[in-house]
Amino acid sequence: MTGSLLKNTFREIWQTKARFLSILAIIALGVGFFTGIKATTPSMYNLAETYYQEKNLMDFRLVSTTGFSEDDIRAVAATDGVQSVMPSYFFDVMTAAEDGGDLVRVIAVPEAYENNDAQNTLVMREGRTAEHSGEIVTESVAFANARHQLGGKVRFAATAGDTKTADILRHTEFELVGKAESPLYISYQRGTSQIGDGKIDEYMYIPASDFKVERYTELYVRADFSKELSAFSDAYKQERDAMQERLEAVAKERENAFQTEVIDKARAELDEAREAFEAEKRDAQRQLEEAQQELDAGEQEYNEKISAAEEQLRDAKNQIDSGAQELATGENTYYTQIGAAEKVLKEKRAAWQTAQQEYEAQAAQAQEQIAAAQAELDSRLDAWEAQNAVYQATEQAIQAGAIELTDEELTLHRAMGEQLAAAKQQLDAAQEQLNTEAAAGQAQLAEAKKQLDSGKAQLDAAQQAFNAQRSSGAAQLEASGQQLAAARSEMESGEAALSEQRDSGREQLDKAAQELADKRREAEEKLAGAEKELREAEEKLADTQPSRWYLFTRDNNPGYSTFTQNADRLDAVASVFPLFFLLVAVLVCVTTMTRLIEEKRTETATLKALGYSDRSIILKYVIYAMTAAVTGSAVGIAAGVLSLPFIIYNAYKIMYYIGDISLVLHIPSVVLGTLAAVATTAVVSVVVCEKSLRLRPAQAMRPKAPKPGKRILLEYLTPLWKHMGFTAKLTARNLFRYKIRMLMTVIGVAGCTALIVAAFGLLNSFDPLTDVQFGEIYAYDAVVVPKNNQAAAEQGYLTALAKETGVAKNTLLVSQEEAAVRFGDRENTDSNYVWAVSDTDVMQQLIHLRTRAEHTPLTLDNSGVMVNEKLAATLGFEVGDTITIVIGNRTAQAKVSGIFEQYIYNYLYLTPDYYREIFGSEPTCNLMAVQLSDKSEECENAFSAAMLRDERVTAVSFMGSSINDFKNMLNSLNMVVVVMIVCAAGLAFVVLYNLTNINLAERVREIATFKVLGFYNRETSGLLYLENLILTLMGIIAGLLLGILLTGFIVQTVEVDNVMFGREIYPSSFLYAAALTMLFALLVNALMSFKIKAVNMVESLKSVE
Amino acid sequence: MPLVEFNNVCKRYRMGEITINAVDGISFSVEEGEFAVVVGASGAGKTTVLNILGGMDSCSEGEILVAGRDVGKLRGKALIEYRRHDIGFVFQFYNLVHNLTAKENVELAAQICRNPMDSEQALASVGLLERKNNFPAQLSGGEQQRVSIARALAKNPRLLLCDEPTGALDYNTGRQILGLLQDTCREKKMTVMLITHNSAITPMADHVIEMKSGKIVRDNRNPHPKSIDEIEW
Repeated sequence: MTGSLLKNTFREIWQTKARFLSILAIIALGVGFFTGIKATTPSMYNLAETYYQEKNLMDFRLVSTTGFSEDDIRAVAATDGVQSVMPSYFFDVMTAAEDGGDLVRVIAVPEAYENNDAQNTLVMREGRTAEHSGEIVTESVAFANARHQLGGKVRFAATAGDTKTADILRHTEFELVGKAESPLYISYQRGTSQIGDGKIDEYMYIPASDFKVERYTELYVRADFSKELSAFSDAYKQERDAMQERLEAVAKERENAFQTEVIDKARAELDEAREAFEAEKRDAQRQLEEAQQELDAGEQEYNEKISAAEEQLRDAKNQIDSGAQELATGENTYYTQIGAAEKVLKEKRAAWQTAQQEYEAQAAQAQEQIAAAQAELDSRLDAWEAQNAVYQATEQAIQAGAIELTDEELTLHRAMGEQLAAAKQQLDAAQEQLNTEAAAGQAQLAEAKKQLDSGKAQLDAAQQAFNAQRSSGAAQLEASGQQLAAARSEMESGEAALSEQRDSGREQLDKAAQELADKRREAEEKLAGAEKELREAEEKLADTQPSRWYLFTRDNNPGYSTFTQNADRLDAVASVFPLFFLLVAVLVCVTTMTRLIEEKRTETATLKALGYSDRSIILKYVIYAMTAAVTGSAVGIAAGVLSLPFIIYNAYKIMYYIGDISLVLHIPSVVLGTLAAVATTAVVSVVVCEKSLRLRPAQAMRPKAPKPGKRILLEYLTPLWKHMGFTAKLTARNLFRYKIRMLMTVIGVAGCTALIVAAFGLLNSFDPLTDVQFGEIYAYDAVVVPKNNQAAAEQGYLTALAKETGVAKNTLLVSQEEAAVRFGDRENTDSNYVWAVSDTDVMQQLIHLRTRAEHTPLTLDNSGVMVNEKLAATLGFEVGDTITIVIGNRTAQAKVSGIFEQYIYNYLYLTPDYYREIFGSEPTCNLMAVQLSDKSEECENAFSAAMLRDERVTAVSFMGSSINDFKNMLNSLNMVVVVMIVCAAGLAFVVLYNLTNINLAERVREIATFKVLGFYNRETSGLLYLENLILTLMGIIAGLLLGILLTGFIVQTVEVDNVMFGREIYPSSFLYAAALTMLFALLVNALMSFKIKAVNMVESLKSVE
Repeated sequence: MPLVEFNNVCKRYRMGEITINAVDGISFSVEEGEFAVVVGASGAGKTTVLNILGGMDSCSEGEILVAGRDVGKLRGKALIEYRRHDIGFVFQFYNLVHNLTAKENVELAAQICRNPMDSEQALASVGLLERKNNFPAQLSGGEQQRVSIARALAKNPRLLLCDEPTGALDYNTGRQILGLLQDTCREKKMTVMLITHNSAITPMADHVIEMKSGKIVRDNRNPHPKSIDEIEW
């Protein structure tokens, strides 16, 4: 190889830039893709490894049914190979219902223990770690993050399963001081718990001092080898397994130690206590009996005394009674006599009174008679006086001579005077007589009065005598009455004294009895308390299972093993794509080099004629090709390695929280990729070159005879052929003229289409996760978690509560348990949920069980268990097979009665009857699926508010939030789709550009001829385009078919164990893929049309040199 | 009025510092129905004249009138249409489309013009009707050139331009081709312009233009052109 030939080679490159670049580009694409994806896996491994080292991730986690003592820790620390031990606490609680009722694993903040470093150190993302009592750190990742605000409160429900939260934690309300990532949880998985719905929602950290538990609940162990060995190496696994055996031995030892040190000791202590108790009990009983006897004696004495006193009193009373009787008789006599005397006296007095009245009447009558007589006398006197007055007056007048009287009249007057004097005499006599008579009457009356007065005196004397008699009798009676009363009062006072005595005696006795009763009760209470304590202690001891230790490795950490599985999956993808690109690269290289060498035919011949060896001529082209390959590889490696791991890891970051990726070159893949590219291009150029070197120089000097036209099969269909235009005919013949080129184009374009189909297919495959799963399969809207796990029959109140809300349409009580499922030698332990549904009819309303392909509805019955498609595919079983379901320590064989469409997690549905049949136990209902009357937010709020008001309800969650969780998760995968489409576009461009470019170069004379003949530019380029378009169409059709396969492959490779992506590619995706590919083809054509326009007829048609 | 008229036509190429005058201010005219031959040594500029006339190249100066129209000023589509309808080209290396049969090559030209000759007739006129279904690779050089002439004729062009049509042919075949062209000119009243370096054939032309270094050194009409059969070289 001479310098001038080398110069010639590099000039060649400069002159054929487009071709050179197309080889370079396709190699860059292929190698870049290959090394980029290949670098992702080691980068992810490296990331995980560094992260684990930095965070001092434990190698083993020990959990015991009885917790750990310091002795246990010492024993573990002393195990060969243990570098450090960190004891810790954890406890599963529920957040308060108003805070969402999430199931939370609360863990103690990692702290250095004695001389051991803290393990599993937290990565603080916000705020600071929990340092003081009452502070808490929540996880900064996953969906839980948004629920908590820094500075806010985290409240826990009062009970967690059967345990009171306050018994375990110092507080039930914590202040949120920071958010962190824990290296124990690198994925979105949080593991399982014994309480709630069994699915841990988030983890939180509080200071160890906030745990009230005595014994440590878990131990983290870091091994000596952990620092030196890669966590993913086989050496690590070997060491770990060996160490696991040693730790298991220690565990066995400590389990036995617990038996002797704790259980047996406790039993002995308990027995002693029981004996002491019995003795005490006997003692107390004896004392009580004695006191009782004393009391009984006192009672008897009292009764005797009282009855004697009562006797005495009874005698006295009898005497008093007889005295009283006598007194009554005396009184009677006295009153009779007195009465009689009184009666006589009364009669006498009455007689006297009658006489008195008679006397008074007579006196009055006499008085009256006198008065009447007097009155008559007086009236006669008056009449006389009047006559006299008249007479006197007349007399006076006569005398005075006032009047002259006739004699007659004087006679008369004198007569009158006489008459008057007579009348006066008469009157005075009558008066005299009357006075005498009156005096006589008066004397008579006075006599009668005298008699009356003596009668009165007699009466008064009798009265006096009676009175004296009466009062002496009364006095006598009173005296005896007083005597009696004195006797009575004496008796009464005796009685009072007795009753007082009786009362006080009774009181004393009662008091004594009371005291005794009190004492007895007290003693009984005390004994009962002691008895209860003893019984409790006994029960506790009986409950205290022999200590059982569980040993976990890193593989048991949620997400730990799936991370590496996912990284490994990428390797599978990395192996398919580059192969494809390499194939296209070879084809591009073949056509380009062929063309190049053919073009340089004369030059080659000249060189040969000049005496250059075949080898140095070949070398020229090998250098050309290898330069392209090496630069292409370099560009590709740089671009691929610097972009793909980050883009891909970004998609994984949705699921893993393990820091940011740092680049690790995967040297073997870089070498392999570059070698493959360089070797293929070199081989291709050697082979092509060889062919033209076989000619003799003279022969080679002449232009190569154009490839003769050939009839194609189509032409024998004369009618059709006749109707075809020249463009069509020309195209048809050309298509079959250059087979390699055709193949290259079809494969390249097909690859492009397939990639786009796969990209969109991947997007399509996400759809069912949200749209189909939540829109078509799940018809229930909410899940209610009760506080207690009980049989369905006892959870009736849940249904009632839901009905009361008024917005629940259907409710279904479910027993959910996480299980491991085995079939043959395969096992799946991730996210398998066994659902025993209480009512299959309602279930049909809430969950639409159907096959994926035909949408045939499936019905659950007692014949077996329904399993989702993904699990069936993973474990490889079919309907009718028998699978093994392991829930905790229970194992059952179940017949698969149906395989249904399901995209998120694995579910095994069965009836309670079948559950009983295979597990032999009753399923306990721990959640209720609810279909609401509508899906509005108001409806949801109303429902959750109403349900959470009841304290038996722990949590209510809605499917709506799950949809969003998944949507967010999948959105970040869009970047992967963009990468794929960009690669596809790159592939299409390189291939089509290269093809058209070569086509153009080869047919430049033809094109010039067309131009000379007067073909419009449009018509000329149309000739080439048609060819391109037909090839593109063929490529697209092939690509669509290939795309289906590719999508299937990618989807199955990418999907993680617990979700199933959709398997259906939408027609629109095919349409997009076809349209985009066509667009790329048209773009290339548009670019080419400038070149066609620029073809110079004169130059191109110049006679061949 | 002549069909073709060149007035002071110049064609200059710039090659770096140097300007080459490929055609240096030539003027001539060709009458309708004439059989004109441009003769000259290699590099005399005769092909450039033909390319400019054929609308494949542009001139730097001067005017080229074809039927009174200055084709030197035509650009883009108008130029393509000029080639399409007015010009028929025959090349030294035939420039047939290898993927098309003889007949299809003729049809290729015929299908794009306004008033084409029947392709089979065109082939018959060059005596190749029986080879119509052969691909160029299956034909001899003379036959290929005849197909090429048939292709040019099928367009019924105003002007048939032939660039060294016999250059790649042996003597006898070349004579046949020249005869064919002369006959065509005579029988179809086709204006033919032929370029050759072989001055021996000039007697058969109606009009001989001799060029040397981009200039016309001789431009005379032949009152008694000879038939090809009378010419030997």
